Amino acid sequence: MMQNKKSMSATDGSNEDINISPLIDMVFILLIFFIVTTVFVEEPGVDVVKPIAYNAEDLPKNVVLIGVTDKNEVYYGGDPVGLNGIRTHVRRVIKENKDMPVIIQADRMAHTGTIARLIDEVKLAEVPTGNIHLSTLRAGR
Amino acid sequence: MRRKKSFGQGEDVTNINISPLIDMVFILLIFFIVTTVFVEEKGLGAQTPDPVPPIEQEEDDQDKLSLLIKKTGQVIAQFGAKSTDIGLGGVRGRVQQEKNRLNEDDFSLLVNVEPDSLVDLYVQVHDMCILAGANTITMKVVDKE
Repeated sequence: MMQNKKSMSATDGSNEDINISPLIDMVFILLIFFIVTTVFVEEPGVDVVKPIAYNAEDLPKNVVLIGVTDKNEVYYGGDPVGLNGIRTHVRRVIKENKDMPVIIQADRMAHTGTIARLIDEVKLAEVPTGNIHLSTLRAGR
Repeated sequence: MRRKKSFGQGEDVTNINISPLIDMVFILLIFFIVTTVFVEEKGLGAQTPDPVPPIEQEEDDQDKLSLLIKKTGQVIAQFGAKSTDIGLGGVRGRVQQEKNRLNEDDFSLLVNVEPDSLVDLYVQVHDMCILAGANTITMKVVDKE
């Protein structure tokens, strides 16, 4: 590669090769950054309008995400699995990683009855109570 | 590479071609950039009551503040047999008053909800209860009266 360049630009002897090693270093650093930060989270696949809370805490990153739309449909991994189908999905994920939290992304217009039944289903999938969260936006910040 | 050349013995020194390596690293980089999802969720802890025998449940409700969220958007404070409509604005003050009365570090609160009430209102009530100093807030679905 470099030899080629040399022969092409052979006007004088003091031609400089572009040093590509910093570029490669940078690419490696980027690569490592993305490898480290990548979490393979299945998104619910529905857009919800989240409620707003002042006391919203930062939740963990490697989680099970469940979406509940304003029509009370329960989504997981892009499919409308429904209240009856969610337990098997959650149980499968929890089997691999027992400490994985569950985050429910509920629309503002969803009914609390659906959310309560969903939480009960998630509990039946052997998720500890403290690991179930309701996703919100954070107000004022 | 120049240096290598000067150290080499003959003219036929072969340089290791690193361009396939760089290509591969780029492909990996693009793969990871594309698959990365930045999950940054914020939220509140969600709890429902664990099933308990009905006899214990009866005793549990005595002389303790609980809230009721109706599907019409009313927020009602229930204390013993007395229930007053306090609305969302009154939640914080009423819960704080109860916390001061009990004077316990571990203050848990029961929020009853009608099944058709909206998540938005529940989250706001939950938020106000946290502001008022409640540690654990449990959401319990009650049947319509």
